[in-house]
Amino acid sequence: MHLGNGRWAVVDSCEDENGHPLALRYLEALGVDPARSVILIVTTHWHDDHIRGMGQLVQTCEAANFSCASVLTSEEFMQTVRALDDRHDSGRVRSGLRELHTVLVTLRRRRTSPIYASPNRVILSESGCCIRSLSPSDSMYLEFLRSIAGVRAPIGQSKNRIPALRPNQVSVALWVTMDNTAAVLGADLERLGWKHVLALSARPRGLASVFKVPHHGAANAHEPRVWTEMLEKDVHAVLTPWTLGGQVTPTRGDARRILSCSKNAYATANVIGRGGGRSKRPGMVDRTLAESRAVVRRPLMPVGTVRLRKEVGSDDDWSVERLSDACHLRDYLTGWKSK
Amino acid sequence: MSRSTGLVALQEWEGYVIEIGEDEFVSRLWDITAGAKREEEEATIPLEEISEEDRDKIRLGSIFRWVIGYQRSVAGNRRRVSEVVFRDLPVLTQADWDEAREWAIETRRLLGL
Repeated sequence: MHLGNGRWAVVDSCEDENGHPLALRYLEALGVDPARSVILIVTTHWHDDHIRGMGQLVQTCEAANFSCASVLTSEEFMQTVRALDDRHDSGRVRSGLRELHTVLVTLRRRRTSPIYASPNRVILSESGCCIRSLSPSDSMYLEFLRSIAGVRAPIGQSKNRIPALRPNQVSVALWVTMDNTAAVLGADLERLGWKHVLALSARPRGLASVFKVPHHGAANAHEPRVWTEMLEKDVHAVLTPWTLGGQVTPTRGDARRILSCSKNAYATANVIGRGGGRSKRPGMVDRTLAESRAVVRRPLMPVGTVRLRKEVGSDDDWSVERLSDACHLRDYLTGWKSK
Repeated sequence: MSRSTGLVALQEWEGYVIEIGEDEFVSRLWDITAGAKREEEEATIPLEEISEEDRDKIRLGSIFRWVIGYQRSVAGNRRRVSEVVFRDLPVLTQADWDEAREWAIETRRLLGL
């Protein structure tokens, strides 16, 4: 997010095909020096699809404050991060915990405290820009620690890679205001989390004109009151698709639901009907795979960008650019790119 | 009986388990053969492909190597091979756990927490 006057905030991280943080690639392409211009980095949670490259991002953005849910720096969670991830001998299986470990080592070296995200807390306020966390709620803190304890390898067993826990209980949703404009960034917060947000006694008022749709548009993150009480009619809604086991989120049904809430809905990639791809391999490999009934597919989306720009303080609507493979959500239903 | 002269790998992945079903599991894979820098693929693998002794290693987050290739016998015959081997990662010891706690406490202190 450009906060004005050459200052930037980055929320979450993913990598390009070369393992380079996409946020850094984007900023460098604009001629922005991330080391000096990024003043805030937020990790909304520790799932791989939101934290890849975060370690390098934090190392590079030397001027940035770092914000996350407080539970990620609890003694119990940090103990798990350290025990399971710093002695891993595989250079390939990098997990969200390893990225978090890299971030913590960097903060430790800099002697810099994180800014904690909690319900209705201001994590940045300057020059007309305010970023406020809406979640996670206190009740999710203990629940999360219990869940982590339940999935890590017990003492005496081989270390494992901690799986992404569902439901996602500690995702940080954000309310961003710049002058008369507001945006809600929904991270992967699920329906129960949104009910807690809506119940906040001093929740930010007003309606947002931009919405990062939570949890890739999945139904388990849809809370109708968010659309009616927090967002403008026909809010500019953006989501990033996700796949697992050949299943795609959002589904066509998810896309229809979101389009019924706003006609201005976009996705960073159009994956419906693509069916994943297959790499070219020697015929013997393909024959062996066919005989084994194992299915190997390429789940990763092409990387696209939905860019929204608006003059701060103006009453103009957002200009929307769909770069690379980004599309309108209508394309999920019609199967071809609309203008 | 002919003697094999070793496995020639045509395709190799490293992967980890992300979902376990009744008779198959889903995993994310790095294509080692292609020199991939990030996960590139996803596989659904039938449990029957896994040896009996490795079945109880299949847990969420378990890491494995998968090699497809052929073994050549002394007589020159080739036999197609597909092996999924779960890695025996270091065991989490009490000492690891205690050291990790000390690190967490010290890190929180240095972070002013």
